[in-house]
Amino acid sequence: MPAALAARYAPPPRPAPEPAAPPVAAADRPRIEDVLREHGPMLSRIAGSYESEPARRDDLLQEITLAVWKALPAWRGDASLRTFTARVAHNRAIDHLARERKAMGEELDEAHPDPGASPVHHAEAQQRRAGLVAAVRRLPLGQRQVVVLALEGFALKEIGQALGLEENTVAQRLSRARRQLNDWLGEGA
Amino acid sequence: MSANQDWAALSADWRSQESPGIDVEALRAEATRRGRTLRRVLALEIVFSALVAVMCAYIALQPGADGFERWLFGGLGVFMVVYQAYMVWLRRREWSEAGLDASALLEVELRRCATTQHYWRLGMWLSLAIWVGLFGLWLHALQAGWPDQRVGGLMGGLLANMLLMPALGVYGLWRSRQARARCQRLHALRELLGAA
Repeated sequence: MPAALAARYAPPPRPAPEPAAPPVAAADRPRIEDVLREHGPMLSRIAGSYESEPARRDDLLQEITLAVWKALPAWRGDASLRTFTARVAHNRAIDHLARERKAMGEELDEAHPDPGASPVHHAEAQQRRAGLVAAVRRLPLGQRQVVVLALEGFALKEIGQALGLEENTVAQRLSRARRQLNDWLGEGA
Repeated sequence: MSANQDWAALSADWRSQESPGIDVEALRAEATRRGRTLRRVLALEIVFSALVAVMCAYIALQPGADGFERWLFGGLGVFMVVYQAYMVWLRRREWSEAGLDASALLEVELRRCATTQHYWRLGMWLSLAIWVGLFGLWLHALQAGWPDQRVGGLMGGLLANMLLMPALGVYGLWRSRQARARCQRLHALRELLGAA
């Protein structure tokens, strides 16, 4: 690769990684069935934060679950299995956005539905959920990833581990996203 | 209600979304199918390249072959092996979801994208240069009075490549454009991820 091209695409300097722990022994490794039983709903909600159309969301969920399955042997136990699974899910979703022109176009261009506007006949809880999901999807990608994990109950440190971000960056994004969510959901109330 | 209680309520709402059950058996079948397809494609490519390399070696090692033919077909055989090894190397890297974070993955993918563009541009110009070189050799062969058989062989190669070259050019252009568009999407994604 010519030097100019290499320089253009060179990644920004990153801190040297800590020595990685060895993968968890095969006998101690969780079975995919157990992982999906425990974390499947979270994976589904993560997929839903990237794709609103049900068929595309199911496709993404399948990609995510396959990726989790493939990645399980590499789990080192240095982060919890839940954090590890969330990291794989977000990475696969980013891969999905990068590959799918339509998804990316939707990401950049689509005017997401107003979280305050929900069908009249929906029950109140369903309305609230639909409003919340729409509002989360409306957030900028960087904030959305953080918020989804925070809503899943992850601590700041775990979110940082899952997304490869510093804790203060996570806190900053989460704070902005919460303000934004409050504004949007307040408007709809 | 405090901000924390609000957040707890939002979190509860979020987690109460309905989620479809995941059919592990269907997942297993899909993983097996994908693995099988990938192995088949790779095996076919390797077998095809090996066949071409063996044919080149066979022609180059014929007792009647002269120095020119030995170099030409020997070089082609080596080129095929190197090319196939490069393609396998390009494919070997799948995103390691376990070890990298999203921004690192994007950086890796951006480099890969740049390599793809570079590969196709280089490939197209090299092919054109080889064709022009062969054309020059053919002109030289005509003037120098080379044996008819060798001049005819060169001409056959040139004519065949007159069809192949534009096809390769169009395909290379298409691949380069695809890679460029992907690079743009990746850059846009990086911007989105970096936005606080």
